[in-house]
Amino acid sequence: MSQETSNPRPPVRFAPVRIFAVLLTLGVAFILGQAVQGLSEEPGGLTGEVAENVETSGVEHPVTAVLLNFRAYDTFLEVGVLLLAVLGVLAVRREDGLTSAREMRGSRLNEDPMLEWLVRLLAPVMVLAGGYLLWLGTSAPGGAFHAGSMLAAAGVILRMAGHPSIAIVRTGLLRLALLLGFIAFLITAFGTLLFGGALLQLPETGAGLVILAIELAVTVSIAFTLVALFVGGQSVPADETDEAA
Amino acid sequence: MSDFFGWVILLPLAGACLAVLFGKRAAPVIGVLIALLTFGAVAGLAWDVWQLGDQRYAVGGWTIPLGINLYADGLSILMLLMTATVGMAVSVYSLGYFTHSSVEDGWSEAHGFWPLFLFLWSALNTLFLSADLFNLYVSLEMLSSAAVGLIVIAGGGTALAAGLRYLLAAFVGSLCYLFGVALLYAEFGTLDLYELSENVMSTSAALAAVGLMTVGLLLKTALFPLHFWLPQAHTSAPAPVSALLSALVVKASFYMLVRLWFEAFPGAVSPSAAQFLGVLGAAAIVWGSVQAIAQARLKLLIAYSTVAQIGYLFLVMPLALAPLVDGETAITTANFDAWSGGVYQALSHALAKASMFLAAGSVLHALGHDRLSGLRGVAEKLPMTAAAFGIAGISLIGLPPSGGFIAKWFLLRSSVAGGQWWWVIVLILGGLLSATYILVVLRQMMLRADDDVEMQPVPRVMELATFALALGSLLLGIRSIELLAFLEIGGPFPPGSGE
Amino acid sequence: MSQFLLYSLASVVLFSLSLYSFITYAHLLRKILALNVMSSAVFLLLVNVAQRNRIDHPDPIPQAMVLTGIVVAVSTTGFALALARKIYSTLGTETLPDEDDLE
Repeated sequence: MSQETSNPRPPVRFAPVRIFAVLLTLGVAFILGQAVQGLSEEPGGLTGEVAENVETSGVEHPVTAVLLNFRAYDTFLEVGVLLLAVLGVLAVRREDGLTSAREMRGSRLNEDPMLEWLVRLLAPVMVLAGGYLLWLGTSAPGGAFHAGSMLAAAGVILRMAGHPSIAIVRTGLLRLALLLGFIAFLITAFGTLLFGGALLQLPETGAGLVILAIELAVTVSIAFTLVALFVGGQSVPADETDEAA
Repeated sequence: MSDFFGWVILLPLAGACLAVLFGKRAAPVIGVLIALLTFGAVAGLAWDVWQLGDQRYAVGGWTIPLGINLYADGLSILMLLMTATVGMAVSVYSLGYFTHSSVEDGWSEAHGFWPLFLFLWSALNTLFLSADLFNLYVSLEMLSSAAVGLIVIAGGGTALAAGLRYLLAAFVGSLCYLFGVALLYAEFGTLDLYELSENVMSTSAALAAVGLMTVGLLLKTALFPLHFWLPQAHTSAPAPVSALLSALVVKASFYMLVRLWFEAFPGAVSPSAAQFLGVLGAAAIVWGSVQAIAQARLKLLIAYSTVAQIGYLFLVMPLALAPLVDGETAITTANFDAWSGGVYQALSHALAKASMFLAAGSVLHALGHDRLSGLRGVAEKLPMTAAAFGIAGISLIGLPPSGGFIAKWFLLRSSVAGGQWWWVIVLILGGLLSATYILVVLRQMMLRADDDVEMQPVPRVMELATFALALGSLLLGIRSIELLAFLEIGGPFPPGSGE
Repeated sequence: MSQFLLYSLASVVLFSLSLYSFITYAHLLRKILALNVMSSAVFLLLVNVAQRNRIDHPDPIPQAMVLTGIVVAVSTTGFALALARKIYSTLGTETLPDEDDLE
C-alpha cells in the first residue's frame, strides 16, 4: 500500500504501550496456558450424539449434517454475516455495483498468450472442481463453503489476469447473486415455520434435497461475495480515473 | 413452543432482503412496514411469555445439546421490546432524515441505511433470544458487521476511521469470546447455557474462559478503560445510527455478559471480580461525565454520556451477584433490586439516549453544525426537539418520575440493603455530573436566537419520533410495576424474589 | 507431552503473540494480519478438541464451528481491508489517525 516511506521500519506504538503489551501478552499466555493444561485428555463432546442422528439428517457426512441440519440456524446467520460484509463494502465504495470505467475498457488477456492459455485452462477446471466439491459434501468433506471458495478463486484468477470477471454482471443481477444463498435459507425457514413444526425443522423425507438446494444457492452467493470482497479491496475508482491517460 | 419465536427472527431478516432487492424507492416503505410487523411479533411473544411463563424453543426440532435452543424469559422480552420501540422510532425518524441527504452518482445514504438497519434489528432479536454460546457469537458478529456498515455510510475520513477502529476492536472482542467458547466446549462438551449451568465446575479452564469472554464482551460494551472506540464511532455516524448504537448495540454485549455471569456460571464467579467490574463502572461514570462536560460539540457530548451511563449498568455485578453461603447461592431482595435497577437502567437509557441523538440530528439538520456555542434559539425554533432533549435529560440524571429515577432508586436501595454503601456515593455523584452537562446544553438551547442565523426546517416526523421516545422514557417511570413484574418470569432469580 | 496438550499450547502462544502484534503495530495491514493469526489460533484449539473427541471420526461440532468461524473471519477481514484501502485513498494514512504516539 505505501509506495515510498522515508522511515522503512513499521510504525510502532511508543515504549509505555509496548511494555504494557508485553506484560499483557505474558499474563494472557500464562492464564490460558494453565487453563489448557487443565483440560482433560479423554474424549468428551458430542461425537456420539451426532453419529446417532446422522441417518435422519438427509446427508451422510456428519459435519455437513451439523452445518445444514442440526445447527442450520448458525449457518443461516453466518450467510447473513457474509452478506453484511459485502453490503458494507459496497457502502464504503459508495457504489451499487463493482464496475469502473477502466475495467470495462478491455482486459489484458489479449496481450499475454501464456496468461491467456493458463486462464483458459484453469478457470473451467476450477468451476468443475467446485461443482464436484458441492456434490461431494453429502458424503465426504465438502459442501457449499468449499465449492464457493473454489469458484471464488476462479473469479479472482480471472480478475488478476485482467478479465473484469464479476464486474461484467449488471448491478441488479449482482445483488440477486449475492442474496441468493440468504434467500434460499429464508424461504426454507419460512416454509418450515408455516408448514412444518419448528423453525428450520427439515422434513425427514426430502431433507437431503432441501439441503442440496440450499447448498447450491449458498455456493453461488459465496463465490460472488468473495470475489466482490476482493474487488472491493482494490483501488478505488477515484484513484484510477486520475491516472487514466 | 411459541410460534412467535420464528416470526420475531424472520420478519426483520425478510425485510432486510426485500430492502436490498427493491432498493431505491421502496426501501423506506418496506422498512416501516417490517418495523410494525416485527413490533407486533414481539408483542405476541411477550404475551405468550406473560401467560405461560418462560419459553424454550428447539430450533430445527433438535434437542440440546445437539441443536440450538432459544429462550424467552422476562429479561429477553424486555430487551426485545426495548429494541422494537427504539427501532420503530428510528424508522419513522429516518423517513424524514434520509430523504434530505445528497445523492451522488445514484448512491444515496438511504440506499445503504435500510437494509443494514433491518439486519441490525434482526441481529439484536436473534441475540436476545439465543441460549447457545456459539449462536450468540454469530449473532454478535452480525450485529457488529451491521453496526460498522451503518457508521461508514456517512462517508468521509472521520467516519471511515471510526468505523474501522470499531471493527478492529469488535473483532478482538469476538475472538476473545470465541476462545472462551472453545475452552468451555472442551471442558463441558456442550454449548447450551442451561446445560452449562447444570454442569458448572470452577476449573481453571472454566474460570479462564469466563474471564476471557468477559474481557471480550467488555471491549464490545465499551466499559472504561476499553471505551476508546466509542466516542468517535457514535459521533461520526448519521444521527439515527448513533441512536441505534448507543441505545441498543452496546446493551447486546452487556446482555450476553449478564447471561454468562448470572445464568451459566452463578457460583463460579468470585465476588472480588464482581467488585472490580463495579469499580470500573464507577470510573466510567466519573470519567465519561467529566469528558462530556468538557466537550464543545453536541454529539460528542452525548457519546461521552453513553460511556458514563454504561458504567451504571456494571453496578449490577457486585450488587446482584448473590454470595455463596455453604455452597448454595443465598439470594436476597437486595440482589433482585439491583437486577431490576440494572435492567431498568438499560431500558430507560436506551429510550432517553436514542431520543437525545435523534434530537441532535434534528439540530444538525437545522443549523448545519452541532457546536454547543451555536445552539442558541433551538428551544424557540424547534420546541418539540428541545423539550424532548430536556425530558430525556431528566431520565439520564435520574429525576422522578422518569425511568432513570426508578433504575437509580433500585440500585440505591440495593446498595444500602446489601451493605455496599460506597456505591451510593457513586450514584449521587453520577447524577450531579449528568445534571451538569445536560443543563449546559439546555441553557444554550434556551438562549435567544441570533437574528442572522438561518435554520432549515426540520421534517415533522423527525421531531415527532424524537419526542415520542423521550415521552417513552418518562412513561417507563410511571408504569414501572408491570414491566418489573415481567422480570420475575424466568431469569436467574426464583419467582417472588421481588417484594 | 501429549499431542492434545502440544497443539493447545501452540494455540495459546499464537493467540498471545498476535494480541501483542495487534496492540504494538500501528500499520493497519499488520493489525488485520494479527487478527487473522489470532483467529487461526482459536481454530487450532477447536480442531484440536475435535481430534481429542474422536470416536470413529473426529467430533463434527467443533469442525462446524471452525467452518463458520472462517467465514466470519473472512467477511470481517474483507470489510476491514476495503475500509483500510478507502482510508488510505481519502486520508493518505496507513495508520488510524489518532495513534500519534508512534516512534
